[in-house]
Amino acid sequence: MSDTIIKIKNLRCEVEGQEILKGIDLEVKKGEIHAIMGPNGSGKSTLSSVLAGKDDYAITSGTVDFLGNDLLDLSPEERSWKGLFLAFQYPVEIPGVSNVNFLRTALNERNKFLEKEQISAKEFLAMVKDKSALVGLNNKLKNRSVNEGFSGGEKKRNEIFQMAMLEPKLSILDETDSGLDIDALKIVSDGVNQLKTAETATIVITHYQRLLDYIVPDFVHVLSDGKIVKSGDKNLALQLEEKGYDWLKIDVPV
Amino acid sequence: MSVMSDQIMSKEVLKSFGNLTPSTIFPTQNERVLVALDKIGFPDRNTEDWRYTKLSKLYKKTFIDPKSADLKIHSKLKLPNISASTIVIENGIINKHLTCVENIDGLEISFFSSNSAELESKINHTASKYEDPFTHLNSYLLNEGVYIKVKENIKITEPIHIVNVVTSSQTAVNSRLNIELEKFAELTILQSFIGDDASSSFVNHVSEAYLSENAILHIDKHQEYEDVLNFVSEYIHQDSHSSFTINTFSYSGELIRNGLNVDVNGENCHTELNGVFTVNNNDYIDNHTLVNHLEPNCQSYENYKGIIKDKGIGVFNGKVIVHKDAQKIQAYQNNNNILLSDYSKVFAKPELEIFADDVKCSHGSTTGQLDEEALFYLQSRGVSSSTSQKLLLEGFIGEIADKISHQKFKEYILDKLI
Repeated sequence: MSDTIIKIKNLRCEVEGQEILKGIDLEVKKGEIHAIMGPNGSGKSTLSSVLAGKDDYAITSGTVDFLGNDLLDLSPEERSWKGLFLAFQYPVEIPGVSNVNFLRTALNERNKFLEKEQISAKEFLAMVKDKSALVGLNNKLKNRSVNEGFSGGEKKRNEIFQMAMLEPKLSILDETDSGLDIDALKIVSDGVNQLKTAETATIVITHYQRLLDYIVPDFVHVLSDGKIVKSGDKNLALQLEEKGYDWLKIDVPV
Repeated sequence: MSVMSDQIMSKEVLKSFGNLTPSTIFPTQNERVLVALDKIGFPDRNTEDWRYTKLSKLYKKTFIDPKSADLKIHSKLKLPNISASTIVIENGIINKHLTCVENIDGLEISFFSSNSAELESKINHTASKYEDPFTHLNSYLLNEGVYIKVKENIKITEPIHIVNVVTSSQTAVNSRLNIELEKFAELTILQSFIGDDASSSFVNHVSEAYLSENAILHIDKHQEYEDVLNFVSEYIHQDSHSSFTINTFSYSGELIRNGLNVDVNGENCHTELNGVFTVNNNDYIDNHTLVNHLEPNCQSYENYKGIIKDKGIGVFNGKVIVHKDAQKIQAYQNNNNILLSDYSKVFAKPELEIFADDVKCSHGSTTGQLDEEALFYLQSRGVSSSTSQKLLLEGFIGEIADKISHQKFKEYILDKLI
């Protein structure tokens, strides 16, 4: 069986006639952590949204293979059921929808899709206890409405808690470090590191190198103006931190 | 006997109601009603309080009297068995096979048809000053009514379930509910308006409640008449220290018009009006409320939520009047609506009239769509799009559904609302 989890080929997309992604190529294999860095407006969040299935974007060309499936053909929920997870940069507050109840619904709908057994109340509660401990999510927050009244740090912990509950094969963390103080950053990163297995992969999207001190990537890609302009190992992130994104614009002729 | 003539009604209205037989329950009222109707007339689209109500849906139809032969002994009603005390009025007639009332000390239940002499003085105590044409029409055509009295200091713990069911088509049913609570009395009413093969029928219902000092009345009401026109006029009188709560859930009916009027006539009262209206197909649901704060130191809370689908039209028109000497009133009014289709509509008109100078009042109304970001968020976690929508709508109305007093009733209603 192939070791590839996701393979993106020449992915282009646009919003209202304006091209945002201008031909992305990326392959992520089992056990790998890839970091995607880039300045504001380079298309980082668009890439994560497109992969998760947000329909604000028109895909104009390219293919995305996700574990043998044509990803772009799937609904957002089907992508989730097949093992894709996006941790939002700005997790949405949903008044009136209970944090744990919706997760139970999500797991049951996934199991139904995968023709697996429904999860029992007891199993579910044990799992919630286990996984929330991983990111130190306060008991009270689990039973509240989704993200409602959560602080920035609590929202990000809640994202990783949900990721732990859903056990994805590919996790995309979109600017998970934004709005986090150093302690929260450490807790969230620890959670991500503990969830890492030889069978799963992670794409970390970040503006700053800081997060990569905690979640150490195997590969670093730099996105600029809708294209990956440079790839390397973790040292590339350090160089970027030192020299800034301007350095690349000189380095890579457009 | 007096009959309705074209002097008091336009030809259009006469065509709808002209075939109906005047009530024999309170015959002495009929003449008075006709005089009043002659004076006020029936509303049309130029009548301010009715301008959003699609009255043409009513006036273009012709109705017949309910026939006692239509009574279904073994009704196929799919109502949950909720309460020990259930009263079923089917096509304006007490269905004795389905009615079962527990004997409780201090609780008095009687029917207008069998006790009219004694009850005549009880009706229209609060309604009369409002001069509402459909309330007058109800008096004139009254088929049956229930009178419930709870005596001083008696708390009725089990709710009384009153079912207004219609099982024949093109029928006009005029029913009533009169409640009288003495001092410190407590009562919970579950009220069902349901239909079965009742297309193009018209259910014109009037409820009145009189709350004496320190009385507590809680009403949970749902309306699910398919293809039926359902007008419900409610008149509540509150004496001091009393508490009145009504939760109205409307989700099926060709045209529903709820006119809820509360006179808060004593100090330190609590008044709570909540509602959810889900409008499907071409249905039309209109909620009119009025809270009349006549005395100081009271609190009223109003919260209505609308979910409008398909080509449905919803109306919320809530009015709070704080009279001149009603100081220290706290009155809060809120209305939120979600439109689920490009063709759905809502008219929202929150109104506040304040004549006192030391009050705390607020009102507001919002209309929008389901939050796309929230939908995507839930879907991205593996909740299907239809379930995501359901969860969001449940969240939207949750704070109101949670106020339903009876768990089984709540589950029944919640299932139909979304």
